[in-house]
Amino acid sequence: MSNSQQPLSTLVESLPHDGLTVRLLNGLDYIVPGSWENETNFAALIGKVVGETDEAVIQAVGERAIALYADPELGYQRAVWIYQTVDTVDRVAGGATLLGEVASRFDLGFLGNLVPKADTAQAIDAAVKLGAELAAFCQINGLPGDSVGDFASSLTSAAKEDLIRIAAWLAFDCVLPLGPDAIGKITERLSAASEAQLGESSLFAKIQDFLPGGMAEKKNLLLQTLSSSTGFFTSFIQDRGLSSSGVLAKVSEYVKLSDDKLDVAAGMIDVSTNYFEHTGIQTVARRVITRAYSELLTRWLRRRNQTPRTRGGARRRLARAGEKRLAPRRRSP
Amino acid sequence: MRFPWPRRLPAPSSPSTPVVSVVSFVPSRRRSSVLAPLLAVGFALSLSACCGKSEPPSKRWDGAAASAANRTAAPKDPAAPEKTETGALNRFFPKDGESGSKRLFKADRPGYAEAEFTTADGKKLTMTINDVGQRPDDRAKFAAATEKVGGYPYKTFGKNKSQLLVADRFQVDAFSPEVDEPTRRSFLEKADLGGLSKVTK
Repeated sequence: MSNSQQPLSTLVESLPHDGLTVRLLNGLDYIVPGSWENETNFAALIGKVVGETDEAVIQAVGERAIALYADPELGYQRAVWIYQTVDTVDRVAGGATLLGEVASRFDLGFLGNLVPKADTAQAIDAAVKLGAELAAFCQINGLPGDSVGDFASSLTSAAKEDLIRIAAWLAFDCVLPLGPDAIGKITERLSAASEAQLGESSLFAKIQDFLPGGMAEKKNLLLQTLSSSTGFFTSFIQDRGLSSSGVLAKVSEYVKLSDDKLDVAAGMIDVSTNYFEHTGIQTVARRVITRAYSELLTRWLRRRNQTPRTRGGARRRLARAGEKRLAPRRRSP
Repeated sequence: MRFPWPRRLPAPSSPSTPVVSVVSFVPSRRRSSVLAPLLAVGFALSLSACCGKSEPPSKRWDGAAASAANRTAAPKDPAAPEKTETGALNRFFPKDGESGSKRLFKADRPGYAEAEFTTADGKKLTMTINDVGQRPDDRAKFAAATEKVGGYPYKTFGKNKSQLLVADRFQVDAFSPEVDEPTRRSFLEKADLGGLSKVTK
C-alpha cells in the first residue's frame, strides 16, 4: 500500500499498469463496456479530464491539483486512506500479498488454506465496503445536506473509475459469493446482525470513525445506504446479467483457483487484489484535478498574451511598450 | 512526441532489444567472446523491466510536490470574509431542467461548490463556484477583463473554460470539452448571480 500522504502525482503514477487487479478490472469490461481506462500518467489524466492539450495549462492544473491534495484539511488524503484501508484489511485477514507481477495466468493455489468468510461476515463486509465508499464520497465531495441521498444519486450517474469500482464490488464482493439476489441477502443479514457482529469486522473497526454517530446509527446508516441504492444495484445486476457462474468464468480466465467453490473464489479475489485502492486513487485524482482546473485563472493567459520571446526579449519588449524602467545596458570597460 | 519533458522509456518488448544496442558498440572481432554474457545480462534486464508492475513516476511534478510539502499558509487578510460554509453556494447554480438540462450536485465544500449539467443533447458541462475572498491575486486578474456577462467581468481560460467574478468575491466557472463558448456563457448567465452577490458570510 502506498502512503496516502504522498504527492497526488506520485500516487497516480505508482499505480500498476498491469497485474491481477488491472486484468480483473479490464475483464469486467463485459459488464460496463468502455467505462474504464487504466490511466497511470498524471499529465495524460489531466489532459483527459480538462480536455486541453496545451502543456502550460496541464502543468498549471497539475501543480494546483498537487497543492490541493497536499492540504490535509481538504479530506482528499483521507479519502485515499479509506480506499486503501478497504483493501489492506482484506489482505491482512487473508495473509496474502498483492499480486502485482505480470503472469499469463495468476496461480492462487498458494491460498489453498484460505477459509471462506461465514455468510454473515461476508454480508457485513460487503455492506461495510459500501459504507467505506460512502465515507470516501463524503470526504471528497463534502456533506451536502442529505449525504445518503446525494450518494445514491451519484451512483446512478457514476462513470469511469467510479463505475468500474461499483461493478467490481457487485461482481466480486456481492454476486460471486452470494448470487444474483446478493443485495437482498446483504440487507437481510446486516439487519439481523448484532452490533457485536458488526464490531467484529476488522474493516468496520478501521473505518467506523468516518461514519457518524454511535454503533446503532452507524449500522442504520449502512442499511439506509443499501436501501436507497437497492433499486440501482438490483437493476444493474439484472440488466447486465451478472451471475455467480458468469463472474467465476471470467475470473478463471485470469486466475487459476485452487478451488471452484464460490465463497473461496471470492475470498481469493479479496485478498489478492486492491481494486478499491487502485480505482479510488484515480477517482480522487479526477475530482482534485477538476477542482484545480476550476480555480485556475489567468496566470496562463497572462503568459500567452506576452509578446513572443526574442533574444534580449525583456528589454526589447519593455522598450516597445514604451516603458523605460530598465536602465540602458552599460558596456563593460 | 506530445510531451516536451523527459518521458519514461517504454519497457523493452523482447529480450533481444537491449542486447542489440549494446553489441553495436563492441568491435566485431571481440563480439563472440562478449556476446554470451551480454545476452545473459540483457535478458535479465528485460525480464526485470517487463515484470515490474509500475513504472517510476515522472520527474515533471517533483517541483510542485516539493513546494506543496513546504508550503506555508498564506497570511490571512483580516478584512476579508471567512470562506462560505458548506451548503452556502449550491443553490445559486442554474436550476435543474434549465434549457432541458439535468443537474447533479457533485461537491459542496467550504468555499467551493460544483454541479454537473447534462444538456438536452447529452453533453456534460461542469459549473463551479469558488470563494476567492481570501485570494486577492485571483480577484485582481479580473481587473483587465473588458467583457461583461450578467453585469460581471468575464474571461475565458484555455479553450474549454469561461469564468465570471461576482461581487469581487465569487469566481463562477463553466467548463466542458464538449460544449462551445456561447453555451458556457449562457449557463453562466442562468446562474443566480444576483443572489450570489448578496452572500456576505
